[in-house]
Amino acid sequence: MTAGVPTTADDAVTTDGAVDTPVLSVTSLVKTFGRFTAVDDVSFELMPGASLGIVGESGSGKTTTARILAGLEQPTSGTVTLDGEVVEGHSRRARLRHARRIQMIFQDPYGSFDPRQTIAQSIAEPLRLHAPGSRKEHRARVGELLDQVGLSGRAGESLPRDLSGGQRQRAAIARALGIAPRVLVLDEAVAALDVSIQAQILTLLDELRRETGISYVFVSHDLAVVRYITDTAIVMRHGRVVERGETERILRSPQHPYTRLLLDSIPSPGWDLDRVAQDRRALDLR
Amino acid sequence: MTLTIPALRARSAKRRRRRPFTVSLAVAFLILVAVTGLLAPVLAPHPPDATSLLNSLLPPGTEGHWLGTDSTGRDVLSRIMYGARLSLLAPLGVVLLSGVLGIAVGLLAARAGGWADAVISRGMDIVFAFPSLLLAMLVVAVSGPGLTAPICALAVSYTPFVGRVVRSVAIQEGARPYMESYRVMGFGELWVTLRHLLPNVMPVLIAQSTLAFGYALVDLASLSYLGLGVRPPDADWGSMISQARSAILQGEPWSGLLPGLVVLLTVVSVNVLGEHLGGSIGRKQSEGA
Repeated sequence: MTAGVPTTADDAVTTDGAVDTPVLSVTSLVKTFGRFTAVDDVSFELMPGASLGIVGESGSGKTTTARILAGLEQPTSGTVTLDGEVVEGHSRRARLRHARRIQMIFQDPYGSFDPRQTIAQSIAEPLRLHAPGSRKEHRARVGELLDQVGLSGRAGESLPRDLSGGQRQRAAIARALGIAPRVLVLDEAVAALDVSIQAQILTLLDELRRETGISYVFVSHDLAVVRYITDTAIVMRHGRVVERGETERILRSPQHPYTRLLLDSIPSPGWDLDRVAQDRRALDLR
Repeated sequence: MTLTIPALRARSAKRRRRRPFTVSLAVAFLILVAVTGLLAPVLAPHPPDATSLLNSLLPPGTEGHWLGTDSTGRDVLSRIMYGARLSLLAPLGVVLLSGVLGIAVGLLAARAGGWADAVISRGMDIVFAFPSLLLAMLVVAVSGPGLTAPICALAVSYTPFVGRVVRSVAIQEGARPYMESYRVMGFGELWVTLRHLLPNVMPVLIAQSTLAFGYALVDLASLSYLGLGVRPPDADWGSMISQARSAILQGEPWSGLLPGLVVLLTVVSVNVLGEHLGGSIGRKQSEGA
């Protein structure tokens, strides 16, 4: 941990009050695409059962960070440590081990399913890969998982296109939970949903975290969502972390002008668009 | 937005998806031809190779020979029935072979990308630019007449016809987010390609292969017409037309025109079906996107 975030005490409380080692720690992560630096020296830690928000606008590097965590991109430099083990190598076994520890929920729940498979088939497939067992055991487990995310058996027999956005996102969560990862990366996981459905999914995520002790890395541009679902947060801008700390504290008394700008950008009574634009110009000049 | 629009689209698509009359007609004709070929020994009124010089070049409508006889007195109807076997089986072989090759080459190009894709794609362009009939004739010139060699040659020259479509659909489908979600879940590239990419490519492949079937049928009939395909006494439609050449010159065109008509109707039917399959896939994909 480099830039002094008070993670330890607060986060550890959520898991039996014991002080644990972090389940995920990211050190000096850098990712460049050609001459463009998408992620620039990002470090953070995540305790078991904790929830960390990565906040920023589009282009801030938050999604690239999430994709590195999920193993979809290789960092240019820096390390990702999961469960005390540095993530490296592309071998079949390394990829499987990685998948068992960390899973990802995408923004577009429709696109993240094979359109030809029923939801139950899609949930069963990673089970067969990661938890060998009989067909009957898998079917029972799929039933449990559907139940856990509040989907009916009938939804399980449906094709992705026959479900609503919220149901699909529940299904995507069930599929990820089937692998029983320690960490779940949620990349704008509720951004495509209606506000009322968003609330349901967020409540579900909150319950699941309390029940299973899973940790979240919640990537979002939506500060209200981040406030609800995370304990600590980092604010990213142009690939760098500009502010970090407890989510409540950041949102109540932001230290960095960019965080203040993000907060001011939310429409509210007395909202002054000109002032926001002015602040943004001032920030870009810094 | 994802909640409402697909539902609306699905409903309007269902209304559109009624099968046009021409397609039903085409399918019915193809089934008729296939069944006739299959049951030729039962259905045919005469043996296909029974000659009778007294009854040569009878016009259609003659009692006992409803479609007439050819210059050696063989029953044209019976020969068309028996000829359906080779005329349909040989293009089927071409389509199956080129389908397998096309899948392999197309998927490899799509998944490998980069220079491998460039090499494979240019290779397919070259084969595609080479006339299939010419390639088949070259192969026959080397190997002698018979069906195996031209089937293989045509399969190779139709591979780009299938492979290019497989490649482009596989690239399009491979860019869908679910491919990444399977990677995150720890599935290997091969598994994702065969279990998830291929089935989603299959409908396009079937449509394209149907069209290839029509082209292959014409090519093989042409080869037989040139005396390079089926060898007597076996008959297919192309060789029947070929053997009717002298009769046509004598002003008795029936024994050549009738098999020609059957070839024409079969190919038109196959094309109607292929176009329909291709079209309905296009609709389905625009719904899913």
